[in-house]
Amino acid sequence: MERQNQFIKALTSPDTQEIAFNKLLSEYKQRLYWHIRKIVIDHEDADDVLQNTFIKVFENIKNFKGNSSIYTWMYKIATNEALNLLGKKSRQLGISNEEWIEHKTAQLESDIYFDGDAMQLKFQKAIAQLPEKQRLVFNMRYFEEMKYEKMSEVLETSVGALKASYHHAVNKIKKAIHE
Amino acid sequence: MNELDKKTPFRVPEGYFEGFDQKIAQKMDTIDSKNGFKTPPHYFQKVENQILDQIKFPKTQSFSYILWKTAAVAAVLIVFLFNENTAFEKNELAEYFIEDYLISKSIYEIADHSDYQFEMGNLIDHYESIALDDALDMVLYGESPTNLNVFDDE
Repeated sequence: MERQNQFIKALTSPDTQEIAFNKLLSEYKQRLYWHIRKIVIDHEDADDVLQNTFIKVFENIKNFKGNSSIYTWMYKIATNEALNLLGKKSRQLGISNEEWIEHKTAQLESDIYFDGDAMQLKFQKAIAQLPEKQRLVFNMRYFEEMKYEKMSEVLETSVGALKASYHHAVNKIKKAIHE
Repeated sequence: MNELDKKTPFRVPEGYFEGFDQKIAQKMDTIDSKNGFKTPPHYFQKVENQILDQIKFPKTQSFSYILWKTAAVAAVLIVFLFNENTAFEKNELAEYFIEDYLISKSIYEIADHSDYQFEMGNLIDHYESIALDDALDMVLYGESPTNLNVFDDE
């Protein structure tokens, strides 16, 4: 925690801000990108969200209270930014976020930035059919292997509710794959 | 059997193993093997620059800014030092400005931006055993090392 406080100090001090931010960027860009990408599916959208996330981090670092780890805080911003983008895109088409995701996942086969095999494609289509919260929880638990406690901080949901969501999601995916 | 060349007949393209680690690392970075998503080549290097281009970091003090500030301090000092009517205040204020200047700038920065060459010879010849306070008095009162009483205790 002491090290984090020092790092936050470096991020807010004009003399060291640039160096500290560069460090933050190179350390977390990939992890945040893959988290965002699983939410928005499309690379271009993930790119927009990643850039917005880091800009928001820079603009709001002075308001960071240090109650959680900086990574959890950034993860939260990234998740909100990704969901905001989904909301914006789906509203433009007059459809729900879930419908937008299903639409994007249906295009994965022809997406040059998707390299998965038939099974991975089927898997993604099954995930896309989940309600938004379950999809988030499933991605964070299954792919990112995030602990429920950490997930609870990011999604502001109790650990019990997250476990239930994951359980439901797994059952739905199994069913969809075996159909 | 013994006459057979044990060297492998297989060949690799020239320079194949050079940078192989980097190529693998690059590939691993751009593909998430668990779900098949991938990024354009060199995406993570490019995005870093794109993000940094959009951020305005506060400017650190430039050389000209430091010179300007130093000149301003010197100008204030001159005004106070040549006004004899306010002897008490001028000394106090001048001392304040000098101290403020010395505190806010490291000795290296001051030396960097000064025309005076700090050679050991100069210091030893004229300022041997002169404390910093005395040196400041010299600046404030225009005294030279010759008329400065450095042996108060005697």
